Amino acid sequence: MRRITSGLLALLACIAAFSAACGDPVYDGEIAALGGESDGVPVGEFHRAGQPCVMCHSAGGPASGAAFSVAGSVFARQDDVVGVEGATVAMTDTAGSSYTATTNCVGNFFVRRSDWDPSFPVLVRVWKGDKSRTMQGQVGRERSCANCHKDPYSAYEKLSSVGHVYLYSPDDAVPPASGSCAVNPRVGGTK
Amino acid sequence: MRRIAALGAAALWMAPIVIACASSPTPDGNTRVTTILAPNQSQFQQFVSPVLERRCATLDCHGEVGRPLRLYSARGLRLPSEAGLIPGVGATTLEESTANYRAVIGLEPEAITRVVAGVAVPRDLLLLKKPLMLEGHKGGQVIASSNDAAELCIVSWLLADTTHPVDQASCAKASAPF
Repeated sequence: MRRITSGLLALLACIAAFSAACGDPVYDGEIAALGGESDGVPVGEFHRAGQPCVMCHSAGGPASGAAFSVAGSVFARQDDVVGVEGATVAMTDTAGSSYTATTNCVGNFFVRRSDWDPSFPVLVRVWKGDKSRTMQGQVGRERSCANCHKDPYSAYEKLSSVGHVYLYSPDDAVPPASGSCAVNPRVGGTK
Repeated sequence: MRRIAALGAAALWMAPIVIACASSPTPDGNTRVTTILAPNQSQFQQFVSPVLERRCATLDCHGEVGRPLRLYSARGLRLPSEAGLIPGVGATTLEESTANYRAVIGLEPEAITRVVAGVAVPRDLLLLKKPLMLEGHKGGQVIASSNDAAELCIVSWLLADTTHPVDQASCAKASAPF
């Protein structure tokens, strides 16, 4: 009996050690693939525009202290990845609950989980002034806009990506980017 | 203690027999054949696929390459095509709705056979249990518990015959654009 007990304890110790040593390889890989911070953009509300925010800003993530329920970025045009400041992002969930967020000068918006935690699916509309775009489908469960709204790098990715969120059509006059923004509102740009 | 060891040995001895019974070949050789009764394909493509495209096939759910029950749609995941169709461009193609049909039938071919044969009910299928949240579903409940047009549409397709056609009105309602 003593042999069984000590064997069991050893087995439990092994399992505990193994569990502690291993993270989630899928999640860790996704975080690593995002790369480091951009030069000249401090960690904060202006960083990583166009990236899937909630990947880190979620329970168990490296930015779990500021967990978001939904977050993303709104850019000017399909061919111009500069943030749109002051755009309204209106969301309505399947229970009929609504919430609006406003983009900052790099186009980022975020909803803190403590402020609104929607029941998916969610419908989304974005507007600024008289320019408006309504998402044709619903958000099924993804909390980061950029997980679907990413710019494809390959022909294969084009089959499953709808590109970044943008507000203006090629014919629209785009308001100039904010000159008072603390960082360059253009993705990949330098201040 | 000796009795436990004897029981363990017996269990080990029995295991291969159980496995062998579960995978026994057909009398004519080694090929296992399962007869599948599948609901109508063209009705699926015309009436049911648009419902699944609208409710289930978003890029963050079943319109994702790595998901089970992979679904293609005009607004979501696209099949490679000569026209170079991408999400949001054109309509769902015949090839895409065919792929959707195969995905739905292939999800639980034996279970769907039992439903078509009338020895099981539609809500026995993952196709309905998952979106109704009768079973765990990462995407949550996407079909209401009662009287949802999507369920009425899918059930009518599963059980359709010459006297009970597909409920086209419910299918149209459940696939209507926002």
